[in-house]
Amino acid sequence: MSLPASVPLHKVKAEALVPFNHRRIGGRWLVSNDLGDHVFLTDAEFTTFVQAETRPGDPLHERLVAGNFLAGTVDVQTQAARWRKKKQYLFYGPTLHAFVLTHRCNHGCQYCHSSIVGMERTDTDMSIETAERAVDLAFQTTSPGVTIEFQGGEPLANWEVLQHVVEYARQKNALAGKALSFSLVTNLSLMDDDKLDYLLDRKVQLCTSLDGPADLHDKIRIYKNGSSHELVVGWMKKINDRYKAMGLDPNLYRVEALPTITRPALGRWRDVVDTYVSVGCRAVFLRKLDPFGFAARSAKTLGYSMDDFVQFYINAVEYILELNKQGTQVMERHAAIMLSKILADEEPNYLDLRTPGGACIGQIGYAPDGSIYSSDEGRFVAAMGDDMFKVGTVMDTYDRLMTNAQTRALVMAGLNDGQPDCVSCVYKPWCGQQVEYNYKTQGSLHGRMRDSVWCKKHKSIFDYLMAKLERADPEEMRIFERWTTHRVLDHFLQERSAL
Amino acid sequence: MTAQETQTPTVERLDDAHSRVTLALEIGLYPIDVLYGAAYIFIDRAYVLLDKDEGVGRPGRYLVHLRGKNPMSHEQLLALCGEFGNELLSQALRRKVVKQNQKIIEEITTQAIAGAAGGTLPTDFLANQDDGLDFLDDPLGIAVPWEEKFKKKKDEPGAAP
Amino acid sequence: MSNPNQTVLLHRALYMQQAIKQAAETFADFASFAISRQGAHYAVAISDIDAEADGDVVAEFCNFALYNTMQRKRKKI
Repeated sequence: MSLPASVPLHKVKAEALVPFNHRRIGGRWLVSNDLGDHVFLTDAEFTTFVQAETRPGDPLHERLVAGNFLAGTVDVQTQAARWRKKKQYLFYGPTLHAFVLTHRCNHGCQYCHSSIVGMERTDTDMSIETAERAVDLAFQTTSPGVTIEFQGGEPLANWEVLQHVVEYARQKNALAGKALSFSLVTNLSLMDDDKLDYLLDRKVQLCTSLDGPADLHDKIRIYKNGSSHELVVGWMKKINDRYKAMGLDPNLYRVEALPTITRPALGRWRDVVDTYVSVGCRAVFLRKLDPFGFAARSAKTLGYSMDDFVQFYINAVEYILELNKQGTQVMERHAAIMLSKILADEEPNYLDLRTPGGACIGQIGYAPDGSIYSSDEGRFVAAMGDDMFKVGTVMDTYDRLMTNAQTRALVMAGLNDGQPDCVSCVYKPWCGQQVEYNYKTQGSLHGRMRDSVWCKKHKSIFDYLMAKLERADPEEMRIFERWTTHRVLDHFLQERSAL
Repeated sequence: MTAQETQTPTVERLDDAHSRVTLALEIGLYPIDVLYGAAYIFIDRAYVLLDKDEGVGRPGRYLVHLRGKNPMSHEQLLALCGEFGNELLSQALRRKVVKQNQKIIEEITTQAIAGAAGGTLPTDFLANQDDGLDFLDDPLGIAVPWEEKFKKKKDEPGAAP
Repeated sequence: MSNPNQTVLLHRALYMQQAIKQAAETFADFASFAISRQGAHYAVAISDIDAEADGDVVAEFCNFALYNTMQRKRKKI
């Protein structure tokens, strides 16, 4: 973005300013710096700013000082501590450990990105030996927290190993003392009362897929034994009731559900949001169809352009804001993550929006055969026949996994500081990239942000939110404040001495 | 980037019938590793042959011959040309950005890996630090799957000797 | 492959001889390769191309030669 025509380049006093990026938003200039501060300036204010002509006592000067935009006024020690706090993830290893317990699944979802097989293929299940070795590796992370996420296929199909992992990890944690938690990503079709009792007793967080109203959900998420929607909604209600009966705050503790937005959903943002509200969800995470697996193969029928998605997203968030104004508390998760970074100066460590990205150093994916991938997406690429993101196996040492040439290349490629466009983007302090996505869509780990749909999606959402912040409607700002109030779900943390 | 470096290659020849296209770009517009880097991106979906035309009485040129591994329409071939040009620009620019920010990139990477590994880095880690900075960001080698597939086919019982 | 014998010219400024040799070794099961110099190029005479081979041996060989060159040059950087 070039400077306003009113600013002669020779008058810019770069030495007096903290390096910044800028972008036109809603008739003003949005200016940001690498520390994560931002300010909106009129043309005249912007000109005064870049010419370093403000004086102490001027309201503009004070705003710029508060935002760390004037080089001579920055408290370096305070800002270094702030940077370190937000970049805490650079100081420890992967927290998220995705265990793919099986490739078996009883659903035939049109967009599935995993390499699923029929329910008879028990040979694709993770063995107890592999699972134990994976848990051993997970506990070697230097991170104080370990989240083991069960995935598939349908992970409940390998129930014996799931239980074993939970027990084995809890046992290990008696010594390790990490902040240990479990989550289960399930279509709920194999859930029964005994399993639910166990999962609730062991504080395993439950997460499922819900694509909207029944006709939409069942059309895409095909379940030969009946309506997947009916089944999911039924279990969600039952589980939420159980949380309530356990005395957990119903505002916080609910089954997490995620929709995947397909072409038939594009015109139905109200239906999707209403479905979530009707089953008691307080958050909707509007996820775009990804370029992996079946999703890539079914793009012709289910796919859409990024422009279409962004329009859907804006329509849906506008509707969500409308509901909030009418008293229904529901948030859009993507917006909440971005706003937490921008408004609350927090780093939620959302792996898709951090730099460097989460590949290897933020998360690891363990396949049933013991292969280890850089991430969930890394194993989706593998499911398409390309082992580019296989970084080792459970027989490797943790040190080797973290320090080998591949991990290093993935980390470096996932840095905004090495990316044209990113380095000069006003959203750089809050954004990130995913090397697996770059590779799958553009052929290299680095990709080209200029024509990357990843970049387009995030830039569009940032633009939309920043336009809201620039306008600063008091009611919407109050809603955003609620969305950025972080409450820890500590019930799901295992007791340090769980045994 | 200089004005020269923003020039895109010209389409020298386009052969719809054989899904082939030849691009030409002046020698000196881009560093050679940028040309390699762009070519690398395409070798999973196209056959790539690089050549050099020394030029008599005019500047020399690099010639890039691309042929789709699968049949391609006229529009797809044109899109391929455009994408190659974009990739050249992107690689050239990224090279400059990385050079400019090399110190911070190295420091963040070192911290991230050291943090993950608990502070123990292999002795050659720093020496190899620039591995991710050049045009080859695939330490595995993208060409391998075809070879494996090929060999497997040959090794199958009953396959031609 | 309809033509069992072909010659490809690989420019010496763009392809490394060792990289070409390495590609020839990779494809030794499918064709015979003879590398010589011809002006500014390496001339690679490819003969006895396996008619049963699943794919374009010559074109794949060229991709490998290019890829091997990139890898070798990279190590020199």
